[in-house]
Amino acid sequence: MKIRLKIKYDLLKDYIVPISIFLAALLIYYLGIFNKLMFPNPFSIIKQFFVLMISKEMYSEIFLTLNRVILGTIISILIGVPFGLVLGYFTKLYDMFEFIIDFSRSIPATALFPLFMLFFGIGNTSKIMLGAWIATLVIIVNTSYGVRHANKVYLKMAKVYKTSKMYILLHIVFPGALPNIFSGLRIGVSLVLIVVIVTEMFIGSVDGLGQSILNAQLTYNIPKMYALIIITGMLGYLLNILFLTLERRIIHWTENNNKNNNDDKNNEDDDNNNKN
Amino acid sequence: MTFLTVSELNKEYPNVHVLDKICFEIQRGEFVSVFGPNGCGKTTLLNILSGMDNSYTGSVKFTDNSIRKAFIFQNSNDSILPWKNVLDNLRLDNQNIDESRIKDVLDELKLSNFKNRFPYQLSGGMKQLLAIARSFVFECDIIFLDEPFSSLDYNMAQTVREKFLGLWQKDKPTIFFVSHDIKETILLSDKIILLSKRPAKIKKIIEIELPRPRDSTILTSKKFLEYEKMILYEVENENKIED
Repeated sequence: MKIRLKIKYDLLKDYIVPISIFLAALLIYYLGIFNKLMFPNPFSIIKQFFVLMISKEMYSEIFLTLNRVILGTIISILIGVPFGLVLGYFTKLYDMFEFIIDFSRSIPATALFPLFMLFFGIGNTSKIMLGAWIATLVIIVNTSYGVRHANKVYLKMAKVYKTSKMYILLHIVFPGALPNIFSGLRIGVSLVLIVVIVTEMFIGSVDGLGQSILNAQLTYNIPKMYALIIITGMLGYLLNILFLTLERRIIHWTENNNKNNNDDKNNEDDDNNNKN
Repeated sequence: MTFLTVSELNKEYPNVHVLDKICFEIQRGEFVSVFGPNGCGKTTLLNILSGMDNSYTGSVKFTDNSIRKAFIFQNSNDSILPWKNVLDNLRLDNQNIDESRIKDVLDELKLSNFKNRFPYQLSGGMKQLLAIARSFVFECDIIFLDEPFSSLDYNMAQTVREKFLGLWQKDKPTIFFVSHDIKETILLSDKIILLSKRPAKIKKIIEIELPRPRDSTILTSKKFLEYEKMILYEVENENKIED
């Protein structure tokens, strides 16, 4: 009996909280605590969600938003990683840039959108560039941190064996900073998503998920608005999972990313066998 | 043939006098160990000789200026790149390395079956062997080792030591070895430099005339125990003077 309960618990534990929240939402709806216009029937939101998914009417909007997020992220990687590596490696350069980077990072990205519109217009480019801007700063900070806090003895070793500067940068400094680069990437991509969704809501924007959410609200199609918010959340969640999977694939050597660490015992046995 | 001459070597940090007029010579191919109490400046001496520390007075002269140095750190995790497999860790960026040389060294250390593994798939002892293997692959003229076996358990350390001796026996690079393990020091060395407490002076230089090749059976031989007694006596003596 206990065992059966345990199995059920393992299966259910991931769903207990979401299901409870859904039930609570149902309760709130039927008790009429909030205005039913603001807080529609949870079932109608789910229905709306499936309608959107099946009718494919939102696919082009999802694609447009995703496209902006991905382009913004790629640009930020291309600029942020090399710049971060160099700044982390040359500490004097880092000292010179530290203030301006921290200051730029402190400006809420959306405050810069009017400025970006002046430069890049109201179309795609300004949204992509603003997303890239904020993600680049985050990636620079994380990458240079990873470089500065990398194992210094590797550098000593490289010096002893007289390896080239290029080898040190690409084969010692860069892989050493990869864990930090990836955490920068994951923060960066979620920031790009935020910036893209917000800027899609600006006057002058005509497409994208942000615009669709705003339209649903303006036309009082509130279940649709909720359904779109859920879709946006799924997008962010999937992007995060994508980067986590990439990270595990690429950085196979750190403790939590490889399953082989518990093989250590076997290796010691191998070692002893070798002796004979 | 003299390989390295150290004379009147002094090292001072702002508040501590670490090395005091150290003078000795090392012959080519000699296995030299430094033995002394913790914190006496063994590692400082090693850093100076290996060229990592240049702030000292006195002179450190290698007869030949074009020698290749290698350095084995206390903890193998510090010199083995975790993102490179065994072969790439041995090669580093050396494109024209002799592949047969790599094979010989790996065979000698019985690591051939592991050449495509990553460091996290190796035991601590194997990682330290890998660090040692690299210095032999690069055909270094002198290898500096800083208590390389101190993080391994007794059996593993013994195995690694013997494999290291086997490899050294073959092309006899000069070795400068730092240790605080008396038995290990006697087992491995041709010459032991005994250092005093800080500021470190050379207390005695002992030539170890045990036959080679050596293995752990020598640990219980009469001569070995005599050397051990002699060194212990020196250490005890110093402690008494302090009391």
